[in-house]
Amino acid sequence: MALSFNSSDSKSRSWLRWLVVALLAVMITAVAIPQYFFGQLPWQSPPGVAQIKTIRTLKDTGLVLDGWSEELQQKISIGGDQWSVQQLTHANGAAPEQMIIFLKPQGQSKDQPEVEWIDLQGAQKWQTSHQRRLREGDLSIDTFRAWTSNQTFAVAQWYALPQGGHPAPHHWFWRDQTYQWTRGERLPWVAVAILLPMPPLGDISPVYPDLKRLSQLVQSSLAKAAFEPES
Amino acid sequence: MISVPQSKSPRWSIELAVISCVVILYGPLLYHWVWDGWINKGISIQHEYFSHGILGIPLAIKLVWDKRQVWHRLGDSCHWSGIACLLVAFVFYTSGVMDAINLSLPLLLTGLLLCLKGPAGLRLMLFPLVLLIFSTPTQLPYLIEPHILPLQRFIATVAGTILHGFGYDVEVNQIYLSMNGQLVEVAPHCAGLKMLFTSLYMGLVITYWTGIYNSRLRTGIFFVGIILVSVIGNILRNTILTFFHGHSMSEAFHWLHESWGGDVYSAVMLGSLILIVNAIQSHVPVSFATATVAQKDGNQPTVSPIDF
Repeated sequence: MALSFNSSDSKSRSWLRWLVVALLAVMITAVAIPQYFFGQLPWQSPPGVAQIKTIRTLKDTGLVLDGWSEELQQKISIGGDQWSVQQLTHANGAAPEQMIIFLKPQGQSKDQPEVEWIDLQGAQKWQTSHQRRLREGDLSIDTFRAWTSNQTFAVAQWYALPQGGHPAPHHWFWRDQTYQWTRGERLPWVAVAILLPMPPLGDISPVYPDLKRLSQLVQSSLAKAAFEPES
Repeated sequence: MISVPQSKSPRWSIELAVISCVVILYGPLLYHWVWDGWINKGISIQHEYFSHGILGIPLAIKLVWDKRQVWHRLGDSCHWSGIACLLVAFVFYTSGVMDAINLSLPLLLTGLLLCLKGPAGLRLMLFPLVLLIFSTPTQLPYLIEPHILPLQRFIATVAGTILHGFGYDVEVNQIYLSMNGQLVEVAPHCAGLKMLFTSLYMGLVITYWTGIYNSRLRTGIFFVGIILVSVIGNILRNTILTFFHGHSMSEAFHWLHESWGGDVYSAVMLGSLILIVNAIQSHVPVSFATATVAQKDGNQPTVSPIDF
């Protein structure tokens, strides 16, 4: 029977094919074997969030804001998850006088931002209008007017991250992928919604500067209180 | 004389070496996918979206086995892109990032096909490879979920309208249905995204199995049918769930929502795919052209003109 192994051409090809096998063998000895016998399998030691404990305590303590005093803070359940809700008043009586902050910090390192905004809206039974995304530096916020039968609020919401924040889960997702590749850690997040009381069904546009300024304030104090690496 | 018995063994030696290496590299990972993720449902909801891999991966292996003789007859050749795939797979495998580790399996196999038999090898094994790619767990459902909000609203509205039609007092707000003070949320996975994934995957298998992929018309109608069945099925399912919840029948609710009632529902859905494909094979012509010819020849659209 004709054995094509004789030609020098197929010999060199066969040599190249064995190189592929050698590459696999290198993968086994350099990566797989150490993982199986000496280290841990990647899914048994997934990357974590370094500041997870500090972040988790936010739902018990809420957030301390410069120039604002706390009237009320409590832990409530929304959509099966725990949120912190805070009612704050401006210390020197300057406008806006009142602000409500909803915070949902990530509970475990593997938690991902999901349907926080829908959960919040559903739990508060809000009707909404005038959706608009505002941007300032690396912080993007979704703003809208929310009302129930007896109250109207101007709302700003976003996922706060160590640098900046954004309301969309996919924004967190891609930043989180970069974090995992470059640092071997997960990207922490806190869902934030701030509510400013406004006249019933009034015009929201005059409230935009306040929403922007207060979002910046909440973002920067979260960055200090929760996202800074523990020393 | 001496070399004749030897010629038998090196025939498959490369393939055997490669397969052994792949099993050592990915055996534990596949065990993790199947046992921890799909059977014990212990990884994440996103991972469970790919649980059709329990059927798909063994099927892919069987198809590869069936094609082994054809594979062997292909000439050896190594395409440079195969080496590139192998190198990327190597980087992904060592990254420690779970999605990348998962994706490194189809990448590595693509690289191996290209390195051993070139593009012809890839073409031969394309379908099993596609079955594996669509079973590889990634965060894709996580990225899709926010975009199916309109579908969730639609399902909530129709389910509310149906219950209203039966004379029940139901209120629909966005994706929430409230009945007798009980709130039901039509969440993305409840809106049937997972069932849609499974149905489309099984549709792919059935398309291959029955050979209807030769006809674009039949394949198109089949996939439209799959999506319709899956949406209609989920409207009914959410209607019934809201009814159970609204009447505080929590046992019935849990039975349909997460117990074996849900599995029965899935089985009925998948069974209906078989009925659809049978109906298509007997009533839909292979293409519009053959339909007109067949109709001229005595109004028998089911018989293709080649038979005459």
